[in-house]
Amino acid sequence: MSTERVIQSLVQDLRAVRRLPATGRRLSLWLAFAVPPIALIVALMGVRNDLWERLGEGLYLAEMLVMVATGLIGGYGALAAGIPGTRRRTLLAPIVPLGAWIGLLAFQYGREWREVGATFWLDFHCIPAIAVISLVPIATMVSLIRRGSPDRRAVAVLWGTLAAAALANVGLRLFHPVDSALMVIAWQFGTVVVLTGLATAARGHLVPNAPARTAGSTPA
Amino acid sequence: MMVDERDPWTPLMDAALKGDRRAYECLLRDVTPVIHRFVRRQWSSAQASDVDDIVQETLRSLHAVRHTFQAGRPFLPWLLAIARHRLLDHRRVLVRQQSRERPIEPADETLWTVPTNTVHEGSVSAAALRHVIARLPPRQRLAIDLMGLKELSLKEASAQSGMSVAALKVASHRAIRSLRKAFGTEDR
Repeated sequence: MSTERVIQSLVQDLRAVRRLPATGRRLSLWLAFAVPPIALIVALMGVRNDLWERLGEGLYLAEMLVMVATGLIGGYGALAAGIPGTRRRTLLAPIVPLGAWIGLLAFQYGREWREVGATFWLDFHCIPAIAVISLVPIATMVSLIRRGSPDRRAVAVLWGTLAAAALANVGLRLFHPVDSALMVIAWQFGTVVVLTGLATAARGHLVPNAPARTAGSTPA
Repeated sequence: MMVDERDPWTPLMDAALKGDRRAYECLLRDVTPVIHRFVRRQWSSAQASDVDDIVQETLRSLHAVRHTFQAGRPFLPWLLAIARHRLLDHRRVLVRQQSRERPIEPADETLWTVPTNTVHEGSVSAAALRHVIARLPPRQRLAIDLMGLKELSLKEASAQSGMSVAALKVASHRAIRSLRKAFGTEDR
């Protein structure tokens, strides 16, 4: 087909479309859907008894803030990835809070190792808890990512799932009483990594390569 | 319409998003040589047909994701990001196809073959075929595009499209039936 014919067919197919809202607005929309279910689960489970005491500790507070930052910056990066031409530094920005999160976990683990040695026990309670809390944030994020361009879907799904799991982890830490560093790394952070990995591996099914059809337009 | 000389395409794109076909046609015609030059610059040894394919794929992608063009953002970086992805996709497909191809050894003797049935099969022009493909429903068109034109396997097409293998089979079967119907060559 000649380029001329392609142009003609695209012009014939043109319909008015609603522009994708700015990334910040879409992030707010995601938070509006993602945070209430997390808050509801925290309310149902009941916040941990020592929460105020723990929030007074610098390390615990820093970790919570870093997880919130991973949720926000990761969410922004995921949604921005759906807009062609987004700057590379925006797409790479979630590495910063993620690195800080991993660094804090490593620091916590090193300190615990020196003070009391490695303490570890099986806690399968964390895995379904994070998976359930992450469900709505991940589903909402995926539906928002699908509205954008699929060209960078691997980055979008990677950061989107990470963001959702990070926010879910914040919720989990509000009611889950166990804070042993190795426990956190193995079960809580581990579940975040597994969820993110699974979603990224399934990105072709979550975000099809078929052109993300535009709102208000009839597919050609 | 006021046209900014530094970025003449943004106002055209804004109008196209509102459904203005004249502005859209003008935009597509204007950017075609820009994409062409960009592809040539990035891949200087490309054959003309490859460059044309990439330009056309870029135009199609532009159309499909036009709603992602952000207000107040320059048009060119947005367009060239799409073109870069289509260029990479095209080269990836070429590499994959070349890795599957094997040179055929020249045969030492002439073989008898059944001649192609050109009497009972009406010839179909490529342009007409493409025109009919363009009018297929999106899932059928995607199935034909991935498996018929790009020659991907069912598994690869499924991974790329997000459609299941079964759905792809159904879509391609329906697409072929529609094409036969369009050309009056349905099985009797």
